[in-house]
Amino acid sequence: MDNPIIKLDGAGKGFKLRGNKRILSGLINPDWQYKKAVSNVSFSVNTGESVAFLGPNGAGKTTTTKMMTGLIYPSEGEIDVLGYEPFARDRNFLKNIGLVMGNKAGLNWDLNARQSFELLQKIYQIPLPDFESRVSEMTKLLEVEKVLNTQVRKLSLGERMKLELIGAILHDPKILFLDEPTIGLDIASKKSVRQFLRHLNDKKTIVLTSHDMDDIVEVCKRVVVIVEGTIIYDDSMANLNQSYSHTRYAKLEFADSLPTKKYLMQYGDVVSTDANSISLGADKSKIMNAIGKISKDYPLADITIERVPLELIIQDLFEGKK
Amino acid sequence: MRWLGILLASLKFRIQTELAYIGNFWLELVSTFFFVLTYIVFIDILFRRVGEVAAYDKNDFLFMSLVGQLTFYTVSRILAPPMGRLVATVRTGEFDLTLLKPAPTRLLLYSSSWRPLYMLYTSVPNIAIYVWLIEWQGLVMTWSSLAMGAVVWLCGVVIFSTFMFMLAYPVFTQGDATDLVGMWWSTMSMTEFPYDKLPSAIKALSLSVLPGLLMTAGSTQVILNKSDTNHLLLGASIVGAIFALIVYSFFWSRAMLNYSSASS
Repeated sequence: MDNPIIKLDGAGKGFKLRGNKRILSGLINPDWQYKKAVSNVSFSVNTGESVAFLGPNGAGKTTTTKMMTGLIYPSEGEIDVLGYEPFARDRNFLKNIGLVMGNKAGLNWDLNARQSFELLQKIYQIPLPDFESRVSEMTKLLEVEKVLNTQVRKLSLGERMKLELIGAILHDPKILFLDEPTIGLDIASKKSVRQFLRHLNDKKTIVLTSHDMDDIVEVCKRVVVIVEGTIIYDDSMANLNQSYSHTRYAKLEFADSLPTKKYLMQYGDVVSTDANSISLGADKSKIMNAIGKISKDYPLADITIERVPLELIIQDLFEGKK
Repeated sequence: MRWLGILLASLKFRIQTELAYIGNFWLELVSTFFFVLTYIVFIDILFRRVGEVAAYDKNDFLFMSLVGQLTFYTVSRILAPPMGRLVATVRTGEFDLTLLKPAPTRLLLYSSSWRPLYMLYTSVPNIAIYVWLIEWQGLVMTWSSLAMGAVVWLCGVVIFSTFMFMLAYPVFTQGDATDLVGMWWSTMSMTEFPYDKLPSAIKALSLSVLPGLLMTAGSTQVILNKSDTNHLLLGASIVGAIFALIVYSFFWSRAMLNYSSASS
């Protein structure tokens, strides 16, 4: 049964920009221009869902996330999160949401993470036994218990991000908004953060924005795609993959010369090319036959066949191909 | 009580931060200490020659300098840093992290900008010199004039806070206000003189454009009973402070509506 915890109805945000950039005449006649960052966005998220919010740079993902968290005022439409209007920033609303921004540091660099957590404990009024058990549990899960008392500026980026994540959910919010939570992390740290997020999703609703498709695949079950401020896709991850389930990509590495694009187009779509290889996209029932014919004309050194990667599916959506 | 708890926790946090790199303030302490000594020597030489200036003798002047020091430290350590922080964090979008906390935003903004130890270490020695030099018995001061002067001074604090915020406000509309916020320094440079002897029009104008003047010369005038218009100044200060609170509140709401949360 649907139990929406987040509802956006025609939400939009525009910014006023000064058209006249000249120093003196700009003061007298600023020539204000209105630029829409997000327009008429409507969707809802149910309790316990994990939603990926995707789009190219400047699509309006972060603006929408910021409207949902009450950081910026929506200039049109209505937003309801946990029964509150986010921009009113009611204390109970703020106590029940958490926001992790990969590019913004919530921990004080001159102190250790524990000292920052202790301030959060006072601000969020977390009962001391709960605070201690959460810190202990989460630092153990993310394997950062040993650096809890180390000055933040001396930590690696991965350790710092894990501790930022703990700081954002120390108050046990019902909804967790994540904006590029694994940006700049190494593979091991990314893996650990994703595992932790999956663990959290058992108890919390997650809205994730990321350009790293592995974050999306491993954490989210639903995908919302926004392009130029408008939602163009909203469905489950399974359905998104299903729409490309009949397509396979073959990476063909040639022993000698490469065929022309025109030659390859008779067998499928040329997805990418480099010095000695070409990626060809085709229906899975035809791809083996196509490779057989191509190899007769152009000897192959190696072949790799794979399902369509999510980033290419998403790229197709961005470009309006699907 | 809840807000007091958050304030105390935030101040404790700031002290912990200061203790992480203690010692930054020593040069400033030495610098301000020598400024105070030089100023005191100047006052001594001046009043040896002229006896009094505009009905203020050396002792009155030292008292005005004490109020001036209290005002300077209040503005420079309590009122100006939050606005500097506001401008810096709004520009980078780090202000998001303050807005997301379930506590009054301005309480967090102010308390997270203060440096309690720095405030004490740099102000107390200089203020103590004045307290020691003033002949307290020689001041024409009563308990009621002291109370009235304190109210004028507090109204000045409220008005100066609004003035500081209005300097910072363009960061929400234009994207920067760093230089504007730095202006507080120049408005504080003309606060220690017997302004009550100025012509009325200039007096009103100077009080309007230099809010620091009300805190220093204005409150000194009232405390030392230097003018017949003390009650008028008190009334005007209260009205000014109420108006300043309304202006602050109105423009704060507008600032929040205009906040665009930069993605740094």
